[in-house]
Amino acid sequence: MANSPITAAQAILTPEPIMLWSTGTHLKHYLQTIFGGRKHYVWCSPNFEGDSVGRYSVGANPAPSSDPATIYRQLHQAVTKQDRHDPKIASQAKTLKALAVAWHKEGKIDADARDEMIAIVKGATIRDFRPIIYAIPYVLVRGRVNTVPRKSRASHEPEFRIFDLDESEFQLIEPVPCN
Amino acid sequence: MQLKSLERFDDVTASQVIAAAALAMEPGEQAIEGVSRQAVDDLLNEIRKTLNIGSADIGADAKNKIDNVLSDALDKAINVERLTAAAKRAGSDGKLLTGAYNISFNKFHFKNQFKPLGEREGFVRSMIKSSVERQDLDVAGNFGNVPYFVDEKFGSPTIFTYFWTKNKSKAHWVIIQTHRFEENLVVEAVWRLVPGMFDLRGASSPRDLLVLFANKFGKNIRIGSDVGKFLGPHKIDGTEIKLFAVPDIYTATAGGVVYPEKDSFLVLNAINIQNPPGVIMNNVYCVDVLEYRAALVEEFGHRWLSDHG
Repeated sequence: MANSPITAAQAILTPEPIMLWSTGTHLKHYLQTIFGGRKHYVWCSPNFEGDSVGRYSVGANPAPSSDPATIYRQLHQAVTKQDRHDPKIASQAKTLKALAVAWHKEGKIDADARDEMIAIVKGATIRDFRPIIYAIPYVLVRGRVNTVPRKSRASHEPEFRIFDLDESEFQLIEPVPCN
Repeated sequence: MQLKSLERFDDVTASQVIAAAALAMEPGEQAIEGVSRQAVDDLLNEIRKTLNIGSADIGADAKNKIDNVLSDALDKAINVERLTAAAKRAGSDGKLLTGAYNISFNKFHFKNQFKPLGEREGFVRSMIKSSVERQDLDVAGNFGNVPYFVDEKFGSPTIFTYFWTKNKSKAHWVIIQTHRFEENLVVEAVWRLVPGMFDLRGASSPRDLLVLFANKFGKNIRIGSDVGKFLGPHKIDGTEIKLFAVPDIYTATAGGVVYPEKDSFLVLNAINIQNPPGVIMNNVYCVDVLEYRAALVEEFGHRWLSDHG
């Protein structure tokens, strides 16, 4: 059997990382589980924290908005402080409601599911935006990791995303509960 | 904010333009196929102009202000009646997140059964909101294909668990059983499980904990020919259920449940079915309150019943 062609992401991710990391919110994970057919769309990085790798390594200088550790800390702080107006949380709520409309337009969900999804986001409490970490073994997703076009990236560092991460392909971690 | 650029569209198209604009603000989110890019640009330009934000301003503050307008517009894009109905439906189905439910208490039972056991409403509310685990059950169980309707009185069960480690008391599990109907959660029962009293190794869900609890503190119940301390789904024809708690007989009807005497506490979930008329009962158990109370005192001391929580 012929080998699969090397993807752009594979070319960058050399040597292969053991894990990919992503930070999301509990609410987003929940909605993708209920309405997204248990398939998850995530942005991910071979490093959980850019500062933890050598300064010349790939992924050493991510923008804060792309660094899983920084996103985790920002969300954790906002939830702990009950800051409903935190820009990241407001942006997430807006995006999830927009996705409900988009998924309906694309025929992925029906009108009732769209309305329920929006109702759930509207009714969500600040605690529902608590951060969770996706730990993704690279070997499971190797051929499905996509590079993010430069115009969509916050820095020159490469960024990656997976459009259809299955529930069996990651572990969720919630290291420090937001109290 | 009144968005004039949307006035030329019907409601559905307008909602799609707003959603496309909202996603266009997020790096990496894809455009919605079939939505005019010009319409999206017109909307974003209008919002920027109204907020007095320059077209080249892509700073965090500007984005946050635009996000807020779009979020508000998305809330209003779907008809209020549809959203209200969706929230009720999601609530009954157990899809709403816990914080979105209105928590209330079956006042009579709470006052007469659970306050004397040391439970407090405020404590129970906070345990639900910070529960470790939640399990939404479908009363219909194995009878899932039978047409049925859930009424407000019975609702469908949701069980919460919380591991209580504070105070000087022994660490233990708190099980809170509620019934949910639309956006409401009504607390029906609160039980404490001290791990040393049970073999928890086989338990993998809140319902499993409830079964263990009922097997220790429950009385035998008979439905039809089945007898046990925790009974699963049973379909009973007719609008009246005969529920037997050995040796006494209790009667539950489709319109209401007659609870057993003072020293027992009967819990059941029931839904009405049609064609032919009947009732499905599930998760039925009857706690020997005296025995349970004695166990609480033995584990936590006499003061537990009056001053914790």
